[in-house]
Amino acid sequence: MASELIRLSDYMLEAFAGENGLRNFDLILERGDACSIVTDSPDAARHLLRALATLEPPESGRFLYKGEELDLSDYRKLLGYKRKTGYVAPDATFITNRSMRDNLMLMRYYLEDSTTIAMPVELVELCTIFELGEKLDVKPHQLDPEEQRLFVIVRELSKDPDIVLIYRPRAFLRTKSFEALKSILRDLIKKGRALIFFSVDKSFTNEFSNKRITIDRGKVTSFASGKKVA
Amino acid sequence: MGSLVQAIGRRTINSVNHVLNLFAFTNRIAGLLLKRPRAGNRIVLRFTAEQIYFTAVQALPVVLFIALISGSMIVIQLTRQFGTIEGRFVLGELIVILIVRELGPLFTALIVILRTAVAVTIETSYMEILGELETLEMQGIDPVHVICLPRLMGITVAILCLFFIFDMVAILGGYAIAWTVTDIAVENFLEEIGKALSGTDITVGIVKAIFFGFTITVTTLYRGFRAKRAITEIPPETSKAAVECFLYCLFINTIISIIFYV
Repeated sequence: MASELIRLSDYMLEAFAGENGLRNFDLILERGDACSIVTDSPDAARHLLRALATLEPPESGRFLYKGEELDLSDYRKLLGYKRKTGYVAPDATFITNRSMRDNLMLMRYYLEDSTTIAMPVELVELCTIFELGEKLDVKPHQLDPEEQRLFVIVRELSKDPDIVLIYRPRAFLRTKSFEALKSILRDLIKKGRALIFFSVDKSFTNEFSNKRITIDRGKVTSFASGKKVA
Repeated sequence: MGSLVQAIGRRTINSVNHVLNLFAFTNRIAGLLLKRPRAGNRIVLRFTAEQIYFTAVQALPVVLFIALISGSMIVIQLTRQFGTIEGRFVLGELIVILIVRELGPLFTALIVILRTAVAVTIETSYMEILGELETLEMQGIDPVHVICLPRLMGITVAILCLFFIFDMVAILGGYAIAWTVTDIAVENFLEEIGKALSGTDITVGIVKAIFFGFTITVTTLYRGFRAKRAITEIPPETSKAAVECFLYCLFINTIISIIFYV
């Protein structure tokens, strides 16, 4: 029970964008799990990732995080869970009229009730790894797609998340950035964080999944592969 | 005939629903004012200051120009009609009624609607459609706290400041222009206005500013949040927000005037 992070039971998501929706499914995610979503429908994968980020309210079902049931009827009661969830997807954006520094620091500004705190070391390190140090004072529209994606990754990883949700980890990234991301993800999994992703990159999927979630015409099933992520 | 009654009934229910939603939304934002969550106060303060700057400071040239033009127009017309020895006694009162009590608040509200309300609706709609509000949520931040509350406080404070600036410029500027460009006798003009201006007029100005601030902010944000999927939803919501804001302000202006002066 102690290693269990997320438990979804009898969960049902309504139909979306001409798709079937996801019918009453159960899903358990434990510490150190690296889960790949296998499906022909990228929309269905994104829908599931959004649901795991509690951005999509279900039609029915229960969502337990570390054994506590989340109250999905009030978004304010989900903010604590969201703070511990890294969400990297096309709809993870920025506040467009703020600099990248403000965007990265927003959560700390808010929680620590100060707008003058310096960037913490781990955040500076992440920016250095992805070579974003010189872009901290520009606005989001001044970045190219790769930089935008990297800033999303940095922001979400700097939350020290329990769960990382990634839609197409390879998207927009050069090989160098992608390798750096892979190395960080390996460390996170070793630290007992959970990763769920949808990728069309077979080598990434093979390397990073010790569990699979398949979505076939609205039916969700999950099974462990028993493999250990290197 | 039956379908006409049904249509009227449906429309009435929708309108009542809409107004109730606005009240609920007002309650939700104003609740944060009273509760003052422990986190995020600095950021809310910073965003409030930015909103005041945009709504009040950047609007000053427009407000000053409109106040000067409308003030001089009213002062010239009234002094021409009531500038005689006998009429001078009602001149001050008429100027206070027209500028301080009625036109000042309405003109200011109109300027704020044209500049700020429209901008806030568009900004909020874009934030909703582009997923920026979800992004805030994913940072564990309540969008109502950091987006709505600063706008509510900022716009209300800005309207209050603009009311006083508008009234002062309209009266003093109007007086200066009337004195400069016409040969109308304007002796004792300021003294008459001073006599006519009461504490109630100032109280009414403050009450109107607070109500206008709340109404404009809540209506624009509510309309902004309604745009969900496509950018094409933004123009109709913005247009509705602007028209609704003006109608609500006219209505509130009348109600407050009735309560205080009838």
